[in-house]
Amino acid sequence: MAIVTISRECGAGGEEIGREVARKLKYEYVSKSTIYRDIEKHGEQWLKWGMELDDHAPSIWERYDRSFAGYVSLLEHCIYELALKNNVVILGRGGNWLLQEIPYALRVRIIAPMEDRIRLVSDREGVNREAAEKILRFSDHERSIFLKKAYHRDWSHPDDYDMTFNTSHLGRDEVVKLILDEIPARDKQITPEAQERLRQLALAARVNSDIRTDFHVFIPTLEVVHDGTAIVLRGVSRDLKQQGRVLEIARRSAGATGIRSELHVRGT
Amino acid sequence: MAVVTIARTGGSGGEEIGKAVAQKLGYEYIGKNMILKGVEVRGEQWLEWGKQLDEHGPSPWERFDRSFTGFVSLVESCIYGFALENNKVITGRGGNFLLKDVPFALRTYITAPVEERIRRVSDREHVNMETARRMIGFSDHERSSYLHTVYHRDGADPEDYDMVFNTGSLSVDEVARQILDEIPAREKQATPEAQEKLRQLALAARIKADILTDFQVFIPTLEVVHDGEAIVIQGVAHSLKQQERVLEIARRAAGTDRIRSLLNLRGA
Repeated sequence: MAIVTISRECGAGGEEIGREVARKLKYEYVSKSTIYRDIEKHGEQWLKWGMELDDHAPSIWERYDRSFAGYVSLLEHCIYELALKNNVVILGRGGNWLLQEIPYALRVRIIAPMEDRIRLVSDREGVNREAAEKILRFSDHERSIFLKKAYHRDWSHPDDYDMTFNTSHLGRDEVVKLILDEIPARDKQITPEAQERLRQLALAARVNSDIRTDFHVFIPTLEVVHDGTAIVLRGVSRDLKQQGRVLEIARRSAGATGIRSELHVRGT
Repeated sequence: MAVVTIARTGGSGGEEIGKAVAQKLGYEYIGKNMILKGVEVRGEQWLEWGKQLDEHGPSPWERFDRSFTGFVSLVESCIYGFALENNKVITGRGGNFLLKDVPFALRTYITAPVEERIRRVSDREHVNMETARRMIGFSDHERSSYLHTVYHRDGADPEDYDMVFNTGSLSVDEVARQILDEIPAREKQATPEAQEKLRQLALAARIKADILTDFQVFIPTLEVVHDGEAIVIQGVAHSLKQQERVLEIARRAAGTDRIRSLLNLRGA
Protein backbone atom coordinates (compact mmCIF):
# COMPACT_ATOMS: atom_id res chain seq x y z
CA MET A 1 0.00 0.00 0.00
CA ALA A 2 3.03 2.21 -0.32
CA ILE A 3 4.47 4.51 -2.97
CA VAL A 4 7.90 4.27 -4.52
CA THR A 5 9.54 7.18 -6.33
CA ILE A 6 12.56 6.48 -8.49
CA SER A 7 14.82 9.27 -9.54
CA ARG A 8 17.68 8.24 -11.78
CA GLU A 9 20.61 9.30 -13.86
CA CYS A 10 20.14 8.42 -17.52
CA GLY A 11 21.76 5.09 -18.22
CA ALA A 12 22.00 3.97 -14.60
CA GLY A 13 19.30 1.34 -15.10
CA GLY A 14 16.59 3.12 -13.10
CA GLU A 15 13.75 2.32 -15.49
CA GLU A 16 14.39 -1.42 -15.51
CA ILE A 17 14.61 -1.38 -11.73
CA GLY A 18 11.37 0.62 -11.42
CA ARG A 19 9.54 -1.70 -13.80
CA GLU A 20 10.75 -4.80 -11.99
CA VAL A 21 9.83 -3.40 -8.57
CA ALA A 22 6.36 -2.57 -9.87
CA ARG A 23 5.98 -6.01 -11.38
CA LYS A 24 7.04 -7.83 -8.21
CA LEU A 25 4.85 -5.69 -5.96
CA LYS A 26 1.97 -5.61 -8.45
CA TYR A 27 2.08 -1.82 -8.31
CA GLU A 28 1.26 0.45 -11.22
CA TYR A 29 4.37 1.64 -13.02
CA VAL A 30 4.04 5.36 -13.77
CA SER A 31 6.35 6.81 -16.36
CA LYS A 32 6.22 9.40 -19.10
CA SER A 33 3.46 7.71 -21.12
CA THR A 34 1.11 7.37 -18.14
CA ILE A 35 1.59 11.00 -17.28
CA TYR A 36 1.11 12.17 -20.88
CA ARG A 37 -2.12 10.23 -21.00
CA ASP A 38 -3.34 12.04 -17.88
CA ILE A 39 -2.11 15.43 -19.04
CA GLU A 40 -3.89 15.06 -22.37
CA LYS A 41 -7.21 14.80 -20.54
CA HIS A 42 -6.74 18.45 -19.65
CA GLY A 43 -6.46 19.53 -23.22
CA GLU A 44 -4.52 18.62 -26.30
CA GLN A 45 -2.30 21.71 -26.23
CA TRP A 46 -0.96 20.65 -22.84
CA LEU A 47 0.10 17.35 -24.29
CA LYS A 48 1.88 19.14 -27.14
CA TRP A 49 3.62 21.51 -24.79
CA GLY A 50 4.32 18.70 -22.40
CA MET A 51 6.20 16.71 -24.95
CA GLU A 52 8.38 19.71 -25.73
CA LEU A 53 8.85 20.94 -22.19
CA ASP A 54 9.20 17.64 -20.36
CA ASP A 55 12.66 17.04 -18.95
CA HIS A 56 13.82 20.10 -20.78
CA ALA A 57 15.82 22.98 -19.40
CA PRO A 58 13.58 25.99 -19.87
CA SER A 59 15.05 28.97 -21.64
CA ILE A 60 14.82 32.24 -19.83
CA TRP A 61 11.67 33.14 -21.74
CA GLU A 62 9.97 29.86 -21.13
CA ARG A 63 10.72 29.92 -17.45
CA TYR A 64 8.35 32.80 -16.91
CA ASP A 65 6.03 31.73 -19.64
CA ARG A 66 2.63 30.48 -18.68
CA SER A 67 3.07 27.31 -20.69
CA PHE A 68 6.03 26.18 -18.58
CA ALA A 69 4.48 27.14 -15.25
CA GLY A 70 1.15 25.72 -16.32
CA TYR A 71 2.77 22.51 -17.51
CA VAL A 72 4.68 22.02 -14.25
CA SER A 73 1.53 22.60 -12.21
CA LEU A 74 -0.38 20.11 -14.35
CA LEU A 75 2.42 17.58 -13.96
CA GLU A 76 2.37 17.94 -10.18
CA HIS A 77 -1.40 17.61 -10.07
CA CYS A 78 -1.27 14.42 -12.14
CA ILE A 79 1.47 12.92 -9.99
CA TYR A 80 -0.44 13.62 -6.78
CA GLU A 81 -3.57 12.05 -8.25
CA LEU A 82 -1.60 8.93 -9.09
CA ALA A 83 0.03 8.87 -5.65
CA LEU A 84 -3.39 9.07 -3.99
CA LYS A 85 -4.24 5.72 -5.52
CA ASN A 86 -1.30 4.13 -3.64
CA ASN A 87 0.57 1.10 -4.91
CA VAL A 88 2.46 3.03 -7.55
CA VAL A 89 6.06 3.27 -8.68
CA ILE A 90 6.62 6.79 -10.01
CA LEU A 91 9.56 7.37 -12.30
CA GLY A 92 11.24 10.76 -12.24
CA ARG A 93 9.53 14.14 -12.52
CA GLY A 94 10.53 15.28 -9.06
CA GLY A 95 8.24 12.75 -7.40
CA ASN A 96 10.59 12.55 -4.42
CA TRP A 97 10.14 16.25 -3.66
CA LEU A 98 6.41 16.20 -4.16
CA LEU A 99 6.10 13.33 -1.69
CA GLN A 100 8.81 14.28 0.80
CA GLU A 101 6.28 14.80 3.59
CA ILE A 102 4.68 11.40 3.05
CA PRO A 103 6.35 8.75 5.24
CA TYR A 104 4.92 5.84 3.26
CA ALA A 105 6.55 7.10 0.08
CA LEU A 106 9.95 5.48 -0.40
CA ARG A 107 12.18 7.90 -2.30
CA VAL A 108 14.91 6.11 -4.20
CA ARG A 109 17.69 7.49 -6.37
CA ILE A 110 19.66 5.35 -8.83
CA ILE A 111 23.09 6.48 -10.00
CA ALA A 112 26.09 4.97 -11.77
CA PRO A 113 29.54 6.13 -12.84
CA MET A 114 29.75 7.81 -16.23
CA GLU A 115 31.63 4.88 -17.79
CA ASP A 116 28.92 2.38 -16.89
CA ARG A 117 26.21 4.70 -18.14
CA ILE A 118 27.99 5.28 -21.44
CA ARG A 119 28.21 1.53 -21.91
CA LEU A 120 24.53 0.98 -21.12
CA VAL A 121 23.28 3.78 -23.39
CA SER A 122 25.60 2.69 -26.17
CA ASP A 123 24.14 -0.84 -26.04
CA ARG A 124 20.55 0.22 -25.54
CA GLU A 125 20.46 2.87 -28.28
CA GLY A 126 22.86 1.07 -30.61
CA VAL A 127 25.24 4.01 -30.90
CA ASN A 128 28.97 4.35 -30.48
CA ARG A 129 30.71 5.53 -27.32
CA GLU A 130 31.09 9.12 -28.39
CA ALA A 131 27.46 9.50 -29.33
CA ALA A 132 26.40 7.82 -26.10
CA GLU A 133 28.49 10.24 -24.09
CA LYS A 134 26.97 13.23 -25.89
CA ILE A 135 23.47 11.91 -25.29
CA LEU A 136 24.24 11.47 -21.61
CA ARG A 137 25.79 14.86 -21.02
CA PHE A 138 22.88 16.53 -22.77
CA SER A 139 20.28 14.53 -20.91
CA ASP A 140 21.96 15.08 -17.52
CA HIS A 141 22.20 18.78 -18.15
CA GLU A 142 18.63 19.24 -19.31
CA ARG A 143 17.15 17.09 -16.60
CA SER A 144 19.01 18.64 -13.71
CA ILE A 145 18.17 22.15 -14.83
CA PHE A 146 14.51 21.24 -15.29
CA LEU A 147 14.40 20.00 -11.73
CA LYS A 148 16.40 22.89 -10.36
CA LYS A 149 14.08 25.41 -12.00
CA ALA A 150 10.96 23.55 -11.02
CA TYR A 151 12.02 22.62 -7.48
CA HIS A 152 15.13 24.71 -6.76
CA ARG A 153 17.23 21.78 -5.56
CA ASP A 154 20.27 19.91 -6.74
CA TRP A 155 19.01 16.61 -7.90
CA SER A 156 21.52 14.33 -6.20
CA HIS A 157 21.36 15.63 -2.64
CA PRO A 158 21.17 12.74 -0.14
CA ASP A 159 18.71 14.71 2.03
CA ASP A 160 16.12 14.54 -0.74
CA TYR A 161 15.98 10.74 -0.95
CA ASP A 162 15.65 7.87 1.47
CA MET A 163 18.14 5.60 -0.29
CA THR A 164 20.59 6.07 -3.14
CA PHE A 165 21.95 3.08 -5.01
CA ASN A 166 25.05 3.08 -7.19
CA THR A 167 24.65 0.35 -9.78
CA SER A 168 28.38 0.08 -10.54
CA HIS A 169 28.77 -2.64 -7.92
CA LEU A 170 25.15 -3.42 -7.14
CA GLY A 171 23.34 -5.53 -9.72
CA ARG A 172 19.84 -4.66 -10.87
CA ASP A 173 18.32 -7.63 -9.07
CA GLU A 174 20.09 -6.66 -5.84
CA VAL A 175 18.69 -3.14 -5.96
CA VAL A 176 15.20 -4.46 -6.69
CA LYS A 177 15.44 -6.77 -3.69
CA LEU A 178 16.65 -4.00 -1.40
CA ILE A 179 13.75 -1.78 -2.44
CA LEU A 180 11.25 -4.59 -1.92
CA ASP A 181 12.72 -5.33 1.51
CA GLU A 182 12.02 -1.80 2.65
CA ILE A 183 8.33 -1.82 1.64
CA PRO A 184 6.93 -3.48 4.79
CA ALA A 185 8.45 -0.75 6.94
CA ARG A 186 6.95 1.91 4.64
CA ASP A 187 3.55 0.22 4.77
CA LYS A 188 3.59 0.59 8.55
CA GLN A 189 3.80 4.36 8.02
CA ILE A 190 0.37 4.52 6.38
CA THR A 191 -1.50 6.28 9.14
CA PRO A 192 -4.76 8.24 8.76
CA GLU A 193 -2.75 11.44 9.41
CA ALA A 194 -0.27 10.67 6.65
CA GLN A 195 -3.02 9.85 4.17
CA GLU A 196 -4.85 13.02 5.08
CA ARG A 197 -1.70 15.04 4.48
CA LEU A 198 -1.37 13.54 1.01
CA ARG A 199 -4.98 14.45 0.29
CA GLN A 200 -4.23 18.02 1.36
CA LEU A 201 -1.13 18.24 -0.83
CA ALA A 202 -3.08 16.81 -3.75
CA LEU A 203 -5.90 19.30 -3.30
CA ALA A 204 -3.51 22.25 -3.19
CA ALA A 205 -1.88 20.95 -6.39
CA ARG A 206 -5.27 20.64 -8.06
CA VAL A 207 -6.26 24.20 -7.14
CA ASN A 208 -2.85 25.50 -8.27
CA SER A 209 -3.13 23.68 -11.56
CA ASP A 210 -6.71 24.83 -12.23
CA ILE A 211 -5.65 28.44 -11.79
CA ARG A 212 -2.42 28.17 -13.74
CA THR A 213 -4.01 26.46 -16.71
CA ASP A 214 -6.83 28.97 -16.96
CA PHE A 215 -6.13 31.29 -19.88
CA HIS A 216 -8.03 34.24 -18.48
CA VAL A 217 -5.59 34.47 -15.63
CA PHE A 218 -1.84 34.99 -15.60
CA ILE A 219 -0.45 35.18 -12.08
CA PRO A 220 3.17 34.00 -12.08
CA THR A 221 3.72 34.73 -8.38
CA LEU A 222 0.96 32.34 -7.35
CA GLU A 223 1.55 29.95 -4.48
CA VAL A 224 -1.09 27.50 -3.28
CA VAL A 225 -0.57 25.46 -0.12
CA HIS A 226 -2.71 23.55 2.36
CA ASP A 227 -1.83 24.58 5.88
CA GLY A 228 -3.70 21.74 7.55
CA THR A 229 -6.93 23.68 7.89
CA ALA A 230 -7.56 25.42 4.61
CA ILE A 231 -6.21 26.09 1.16
CA VAL A 232 -4.05 29.22 1.34
CA LEU A 233 -3.51 31.40 -1.71
CA ARG A 234 -0.52 33.71 -1.95
CA GLY A 235 0.73 35.94 -4.72
CA VAL A 236 0.26 39.30 -6.35
CA SER A 237 -2.69 39.83 -8.64
CA ARG A 238 -2.93 42.60 -11.18
CA ASP A 239 -6.25 44.00 -10.11
CA LEU A 240 -9.38 43.21 -8.16
CA LYS A 241 -11.03 41.60 -11.17
CA GLN A 242 -8.17 39.13 -11.57
CA GLN A 243 -8.15 38.44 -7.86
CA GLY A 244 -11.86 37.70 -8.02
CA ARG A 245 -11.35 35.31 -10.89
CA VAL A 246 -8.57 33.46 -9.04
CA LEU A 247 -10.72 33.07 -5.94
CA GLU A 248 -13.66 31.86 -8.03
CA ILE A 249 -11.53 29.12 -9.66
CA ALA A 250 -10.05 28.19 -6.29
CA ARG A 251 -13.43 27.89 -4.58
CA ARG A 252 -14.75 25.70 -7.36
CA SER A 253 -11.73 23.38 -7.23
CA ALA A 254 -11.44 23.20 -3.48
CA GLY A 255 -14.92 21.82 -3.01
CA ALA A 256 -15.75 21.58 0.66
CA THR A 257 -12.37 22.81 1.85
CA GLY A 258 -12.13 26.41 2.97
CA ILE A 259 -10.03 28.99 1.15
CA ARG A 260 -7.94 31.63 2.84
CA SER A 261 -6.67 34.38 0.58
CA GLU A 262 -3.39 36.12 1.29
CA LEU A 263 -3.39 37.55 -2.21
CA HIS A 264 -2.24 41.13 -2.66
CA VAL A 265 -3.63 43.36 -5.33
CA ARG A 266 -0.82 45.18 -7.07
CA GLY A 267 -0.36 48.73 -5.89
CA THR A 268 -2.49 48.40 -2.77
CA MET B 1 33.60 -12.70 3.98
CA ALA B 2 32.86 -9.13 3.10
CA VAL B 3 33.84 -5.66 4.28
CA VAL B 4 31.46 -2.79 4.99
CA THR B 5 32.62 0.83 5.03
CA ILE B 6 30.44 3.40 6.70
CA ALA B 7 30.94 7.08 6.01
CA ARG B 8 28.72 9.29 8.12
CA THR B 9 27.87 12.82 9.14
CA GLY B 10 27.61 13.82 12.80
CA GLY B 11 24.32 12.87 14.44
CA SER B 12 23.26 10.68 11.53
CA GLY B 13 23.28 7.47 13.57
CA GLY B 14 26.01 6.04 11.36
CA GLU B 15 28.06 4.60 14.21
CA GLU B 16 25.02 3.05 15.83
CA ILE B 17 24.15 1.43 12.51
CA GLY B 18 27.72 0.25 12.00
CA LYS B 19 27.81 -1.38 15.41
CA ALA B 20 24.41 -3.01 14.88
CA VAL B 21 25.51 -4.43 11.53
CA ALA B 22 28.80 -5.69 12.99
CA GLN B 23 27.01 -7.34 15.87
CA LYS B 24 24.43 -9.07 13.66
CA LEU B 25 27.06 -10.33 11.23
CA GLY B 26 29.66 -11.24 13.82
CA TYR B 27 32.01 -8.76 12.14
CA GLU B 28 34.54 -6.63 13.95
CA TYR B 29 33.66 -2.94 14.25
CA ILE B 30 36.62 -0.70 13.36
CA GLY B 31 36.35 2.83 14.72
CA LYS B 32 38.69 5.28 16.34
CA ASN B 33 39.94 2.84 19.00
CA MET B 34 40.99 0.15 16.57
CA ILE B 35 42.53 2.63 14.15
CA LEU B 36 44.59 4.24 16.88
CA LYS B 37 45.62 0.80 18.16
CA GLY B 38 46.85 -0.01 14.67
CA VAL B 39 48.72 3.27 14.47
CA GLU B 40 50.31 2.75 17.90
CA VAL B 41 52.07 -0.37 16.65
CA ARG B 42 54.41 1.95 14.83
CA GLY B 43 55.43 3.78 17.96
CA GLU B 44 54.03 5.82 20.79
CA GLN B 45 54.57 9.22 19.19
CA TRP B 46 52.40 8.09 16.28
CA LEU B 47 49.65 7.36 18.75
CA GLU B 48 50.03 10.83 20.25
CA TRP B 49 49.95 12.49 16.84
CA GLY B 50 47.14 10.19 15.82
CA LYS B 51 44.89 11.33 18.62
CA GLN B 52 45.09 14.87 17.30
CA LEU B 53 45.16 14.15 13.58
CA ASP B 54 42.50 11.44 13.27
CA GLU B 55 39.56 12.68 11.19
CA HIS B 56 40.89 16.17 11.48
CA GLY B 57 41.19 18.73 8.71
CA PRO B 58 44.89 19.59 8.51
CA SER B 59 46.07 23.18 8.59
CA PRO B 60 48.29 24.27 5.68
CA TRP B 61 51.39 23.58 7.76
CA GLU B 62 50.24 20.20 8.93
CA ARG B 63 49.37 19.11 5.44
CA PHE B 64 53.00 18.94 4.39
CA ASP B 65 54.34 17.94 7.75
CA ARG B 66 55.73 14.47 8.01
CA SER B 67 53.55 13.69 11.01
CA PHE B 68 50.43 14.21 8.91
CA THR B 69 51.59 12.44 5.77
CA GLY B 70 53.00 9.65 7.90
CA PHE B 71 49.82 9.38 9.91
CA VAL B 72 47.64 9.24 6.80
CA SER B 73 49.79 6.48 5.33
CA LEU B 74 49.48 4.56 8.62
CA VAL B 75 45.70 4.92 8.65
CA GLU B 76 45.49 3.75 5.06
CA SER B 77 47.72 0.79 5.78
CA CYS B 78 45.63 -0.09 8.84
CA ILE B 79 42.39 0.07 6.91
CA TYR B 80 43.76 -2.15 4.16
CA GLY B 81 45.10 -4.52 6.79
CA PHE B 82 41.70 -4.78 8.45
CA ALA B 83 40.00 -5.24 5.08
CA LEU B 84 42.38 -8.09 4.26
CA GLU B 85 41.32 -9.85 7.44
CA ASN B 86 37.74 -9.65 6.12
CA ASN B 87 34.53 -9.49 8.11
CA LYS B 88 34.95 -5.91 9.22
CA VAL B 89 32.77 -2.84 9.47
CA ILE B 90 35.12 0.12 8.96
CA THR B 91 33.99 3.61 9.90
CA GLY B 92 35.08 6.79 8.17
CA ARG B 93 38.62 7.77 7.29
CA GLY B 94 38.10 7.42 3.57
CA GLY B 95 37.57 3.65 3.68
CA ASN B 96 35.23 3.87 0.70
CA PHE B 97 37.90 5.57 -1.40
CA LEU B 98 40.54 3.04 -0.43
CA LEU B 99 38.32 0.05 -1.22
CA LYS B 100 36.57 1.31 -4.33
CA ASP B 101 38.21 -1.33 -6.53
CA VAL B 102 37.35 -4.15 -4.16
CA PRO B 103 33.97 -5.59 -5.22
CA PHE B 104 33.36 -7.42 -1.95
CA ALA B 105 33.52 -4.12 -0.07
CA LEU B 106 30.12 -2.52 0.45
CA ARG B 107 30.59 1.26 0.61
CA THR B 108 27.83 3.08 2.46
CA TYR B 109 27.18 6.69 3.41
CA ILE B 110 24.75 7.57 6.15
CA THR B 111 23.40 11.05 6.65
CA ALA B 112 20.28 13.02 7.55
CA PRO B 113 19.09 16.61 7.06
CA VAL B 114 21.20 18.88 9.21
CA GLU B 115 18.34 20.17 11.38
CA GLU B 116 17.46 16.61 12.33
CA ARG B 117 21.09 15.82 13.17
CA ILE B 118 21.36 18.91 15.32
CA ARG B 119 18.25 17.87 17.22
CA ARG B 120 19.69 14.41 17.87
CA VAL B 121 23.07 15.65 19.06
CA SER B 122 21.35 18.19 21.28
CA ASP B 123 19.39 15.34 22.93
CA ARG B 124 22.24 12.89 23.09
CA GLU B 125 24.90 15.25 24.44
CA HIS B 126 22.49 17.29 26.58
CA VAL B 127 23.44 20.59 25.01
CA ASN B 128 21.30 23.33 23.57
CA MET B 129 20.57 23.54 19.85
CA GLU B 130 23.07 26.31 19.22
CA THR B 131 25.89 24.30 20.75
CA ALA B 132 24.80 21.19 18.91
CA ARG B 133 24.78 23.14 15.65
CA ARG B 134 28.35 24.29 16.29
CA MET B 135 29.49 20.79 17.24
CA ILE B 136 28.06 19.29 14.09
CA GLY B 137 29.34 22.09 11.92
CA PHE B 138 32.79 21.52 13.35
CA SER B 139 32.88 17.74 13.03
CA ASP B 140 31.35 17.74 9.52
CA HIS B 141 33.90 20.29 8.44
CA GLU B 142 36.86 18.49 9.97
CA ARG B 143 35.93 15.19 8.38
CA SER B 144 35.27 16.56 4.96
CA SER B 145 38.41 18.68 5.12
CA TYR B 146 40.48 15.57 5.90
CA LEU B 147 38.90 13.72 2.97
CA HIS B 148 39.34 16.68 0.69
CA THR B 149 43.04 16.96 1.53
CA VAL B 150 43.77 13.27 1.17
CA TYR B 151 41.33 12.12 -1.53
CA HIS B 152 40.33 15.38 -3.22
CA ARG B 153 36.67 14.51 -2.76
CA ASP B 154 34.20 16.00 -0.31
CA GLY B 155 32.79 12.77 1.07
CA ALA B 156 29.20 13.81 0.40
CA ASP B 157 28.96 12.73 -3.23
CA PRO B 158 26.73 9.66 -3.71
CA GLU B 159 28.92 8.62 -6.66
CA ASP B 160 31.63 7.57 -4.19
CA TYR B 161 29.41 4.99 -2.48
CA ASP B 162 27.33 1.93 -3.29
CA MET B 163 24.41 2.95 -1.09
CA VAL B 164 23.43 6.20 0.62
CA PHE B 165 20.86 6.28 3.42
CA ASN B 166 18.89 9.18 4.84
CA THR B 167 18.15 8.52 8.51
CA GLY B 168 15.84 11.52 8.55
CA SER B 169 13.22 9.17 7.21
CA LEU B 170 14.68 5.66 7.68
CA SER B 171 15.19 4.17 11.13
CA VAL B 172 18.49 2.69 12.34
CA ASP B 173 16.97 -0.80 12.11
CA GLU B 174 15.79 -0.26 8.55
CA VAL B 175 19.20 0.88 7.39
CA ALA B 176 20.97 -1.93 9.23
CA ARG B 177 18.65 -4.43 7.59
CA GLN B 178 19.29 -2.98 4.13
CA ILE B 179 23.03 -3.36 4.66
CA LEU B 180 22.63 -6.92 5.95
CA ASP B 181 20.44 -7.79 2.96
CA GLU B 182 23.19 -6.81 0.56
CA ILE B 183 25.96 -8.83 2.24
CA PRO B 184 25.33 -12.19 0.52
CA ALA B 185 25.72 -10.58 -2.90
CA ARG B 186 28.94 -8.88 -1.78
CA GLU B 187 30.35 -12.13 -0.44
CA LYS B 188 29.87 -13.74 -3.84
CA GLN B 189 32.29 -11.13 -5.17
CA ALA B 190 35.15 -12.36 -2.99
CA THR B 191 36.79 -14.19 -5.89
CA PRO B 192 40.48 -15.16 -5.83
CA GLU B 193 41.18 -12.30 -8.29
CA ALA B 194 39.42 -9.74 -6.11
CA GLN B 195 41.22 -10.95 -3.01
CA GLU B 196 44.54 -10.80 -4.80
CA LYS B 197 43.77 -7.23 -5.84
CA LEU B 198 43.15 -6.31 -2.21
CA ARG B 199 46.35 -8.04 -1.15
CA GLN B 200 48.27 -5.93 -3.67
CA LEU B 201 46.62 -2.70 -2.52
CA ALA B 202 47.39 -3.57 1.10
CA LEU B 203 51.01 -4.38 0.36
CA ALA B 204 51.57 -1.11 -1.48
CA ALA B 205 49.98 0.78 1.42
CA ARG B 206 52.11 -1.09 3.96
CA ILE B 207 55.33 -0.29 2.11
CA LYS B 208 54.35 3.35 1.73
CA ALA B 209 53.61 3.60 5.44
CA ASP B 210 56.89 1.89 6.36
CA ILE B 211 58.81 4.41 4.30
CA LEU B 212 56.88 7.54 5.34
CA THR B 213 57.18 6.69 9.03
CA ASP B 214 60.89 5.97 8.89
CA PHE B 215 62.77 8.86 10.40
CA GLN B 216 65.89 8.41 8.36
CA VAL B 217 63.92 9.23 5.25
CA PHE B 218 61.90 12.29 4.32
CA ILE B 219 60.36 11.84 0.91
CA PRO B 220 57.06 13.72 0.71
CA THR B 221 56.70 13.06 -3.03
CA LEU B 222 56.54 9.31 -2.46
CA GLU B 223 54.02 7.22 -4.42
CA VAL B 224 53.75 3.47 -4.01
CA VAL B 225 51.36 1.39 -6.09
CA HIS B 226 51.06 -2.24 -7.19
CA ASP B 227 50.55 -2.47 -10.91
CA GLY B 228 49.50 -6.10 -10.91
CA GLU B 229 53.01 -7.37 -11.49
CA ALA B 230 55.22 -5.47 -9.12
CA ILE B 231 55.38 -2.80 -6.47
CA VAL B 232 56.18 0.47 -8.22
CA ILE B 233 57.90 3.20 -6.25
CA GLN B 234 57.95 6.79 -7.45
CA GLY B 235 59.21 9.99 -5.96
CA VAL B 236 62.21 12.24 -5.65
CA ALA B 237 65.04 11.14 -3.41
CA HIS B 238 67.63 13.63 -2.14
CA SER B 239 70.62 11.35 -2.18
CA LEU B 240 71.75 7.91 -3.19
CA LYS B 241 71.80 6.96 0.48
CA GLN B 242 68.16 7.98 0.84
CA GLN B 243 67.22 6.12 -2.30
CA GLU B 244 68.88 2.99 -1.01
CA ARG B 245 67.17 3.23 2.35
CA VAL B 246 63.80 3.55 0.62
CA LEU B 247 64.45 0.46 -1.49
CA GLU B 248 65.74 -1.45 1.51
CA ILE B 249 62.57 -0.73 3.48
CA ALA B 250 60.47 -1.65 0.48
CA ARG B 251 62.27 -4.94 -0.14
CA ARG B 252 61.92 -5.97 3.47
CA ALA B 253 58.16 -5.53 3.38
CA ALA B 254 57.59 -6.78 -0.16
CA GLY B 255 58.56 -10.38 0.51
CA THR B 256 58.26 -12.28 -2.75
CA ASP B 257 56.62 -9.44 -4.66
CA ARG B 258 58.93 -7.67 -7.09
CA ILE B 259 59.91 -4.05 -6.73
CA ARG B 260 60.29 -1.62 -9.60
CA SER B 261 61.88 1.68 -8.73
CA LEU B 262 61.04 4.81 -10.68
CA LEU B 263 62.66 6.98 -8.05
CA ASN B 264 64.33 10.10 -9.34
CA LEU B 265 67.53 11.25 -7.74
CA ARG B 266 67.44 14.99 -7.25
CA GLY B 267 69.96 16.66 -9.48
CA ALA B 268 70.59 13.42 -11.32
